[in-house]
Amino acid sequence: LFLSRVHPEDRNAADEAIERARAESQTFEIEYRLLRPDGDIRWLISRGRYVSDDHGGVRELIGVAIDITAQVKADLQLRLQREEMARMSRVSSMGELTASLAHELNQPLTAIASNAAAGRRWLAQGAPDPEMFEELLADVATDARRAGDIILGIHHFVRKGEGTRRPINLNEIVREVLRLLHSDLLGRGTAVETQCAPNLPSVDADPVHLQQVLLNLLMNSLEAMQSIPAAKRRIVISTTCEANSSVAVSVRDYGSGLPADDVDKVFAHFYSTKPNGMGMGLTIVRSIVESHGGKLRAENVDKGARFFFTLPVTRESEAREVA
Amino acid sequence: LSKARKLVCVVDDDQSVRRALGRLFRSAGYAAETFASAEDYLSREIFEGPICLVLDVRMPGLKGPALQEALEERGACEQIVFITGHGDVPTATQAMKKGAVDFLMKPFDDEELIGAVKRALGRAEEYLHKRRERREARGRIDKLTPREFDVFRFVILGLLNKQIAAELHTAEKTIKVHRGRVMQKLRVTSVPDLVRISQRGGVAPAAVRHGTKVHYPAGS
Repeated sequence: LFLSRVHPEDRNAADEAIERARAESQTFEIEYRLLRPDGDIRWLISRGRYVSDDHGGVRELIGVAIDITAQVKADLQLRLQREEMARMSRVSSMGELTASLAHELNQPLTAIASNAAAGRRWLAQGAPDPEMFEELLADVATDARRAGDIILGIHHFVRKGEGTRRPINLNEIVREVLRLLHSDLLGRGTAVETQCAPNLPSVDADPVHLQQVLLNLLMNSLEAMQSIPAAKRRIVISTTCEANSSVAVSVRDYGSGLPADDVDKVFAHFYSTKPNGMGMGLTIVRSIVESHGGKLRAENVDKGARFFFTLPVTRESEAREVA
Repeated sequence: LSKARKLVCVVDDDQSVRRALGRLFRSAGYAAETFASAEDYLSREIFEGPICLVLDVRMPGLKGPALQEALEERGACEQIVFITGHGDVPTATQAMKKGAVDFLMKPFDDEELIGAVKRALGRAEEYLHKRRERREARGRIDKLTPREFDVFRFVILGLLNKQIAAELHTAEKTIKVHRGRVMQKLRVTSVPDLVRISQRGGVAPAAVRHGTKVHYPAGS
């Protein structure tokens, strides 16, 4: 009867702890959630021990249950704050990157624009000196290349971990990211459902980068569902294997969806629907996926949006699957 | 053609920006020189004509307002247009307060930049013109004898020959001769012109004894 009131996810753990205490006549201490009939969830901690009679049988169970809901909530709050701080520092380092980027790009752009303006003036005056024009155009080409190199720099920044690629199982990445986001999900009352394909072939990738990809997609989904009631917030993550050559990960939310006119707009640089958004998240996600030889797509689905990316499976596992 | 005697100096540590701006100003008909640093510019001999300095705010070495001060000390008459890759408001404000003509953000519109340079050169020319006038006036005034100079100072005060004679304890006839020489040496024909040249040359009218009636000349 007691166990029927314990939250389904904590039931096994509670049952085991009590059973072990009974078998070994030990004290026990369990932390669990109590599901009240009205749907409210309370956190409790129970400590107790079994008292044996002279024959070694169990005589009685003495224990105490303390409601620690307030403490748990405070801990959760603290964790959320800490994570928000970590997120902010990530965002601000992105901000610094874009600021220095803007400055660096300004130089070649200024030179290109000034050279073009000078060239047009000379042409308008009707007496262009071919030698000078040759020099001018060579400078324009050099500066265009310089601007390109700066852009390439961001790609290198994003691809920094290229050397640390190894075969990894995307199901593990999903599990790790969900663990990282656990308190965020809890705090926002969002249910996450996973549909992981068994025996998923591995992909060659940098695990940290793939975590970033999934983390970004999940944060996006969470933000897209901010305006809908907590009871309806739901994310479905699924992994599938496509024709043994690639693995697909899909993140589907029940949020506000993508701009109807052009779903691909979300991938553009500096596009953001958030008041403080940099508009760089999905751009970076896309460049990470593409640097791994994969593809990232977005689409509107019934009552929400779906992002999914595919990554090619590693050669070895391809060979193994075939053999 | 008069533009050719005006000089635009670009100071920017970025070589391609420097070269491009040099071309732009030459295409607009100005003589242009480029410098990699403020120090390089300062080691150039002083150009006597109107100069517009186009300066990047962010440079290694001497920069922005500090450079403005160094230039002031040097006594040339460059007018400055600042360019910057950052929206650095405090620096811009400080630079404008110190007399910069404009402050433009990179990348800027070429018309806007050339417009600012044109204004700067106009200002430099005006400044040079005034300075030339002052030097010229001083040159003529320096040719006066001490006595003629005294008479000059009384004339611009508006005294009549008779009054000046009384002030200087001499004959009215003598004053008339001195006055004629002053007009001749300063190459003017009227009292108002005499007053104008005294103002350009920074000469103050003489102080009078109490009770002397002063007739202010026209044009003062």
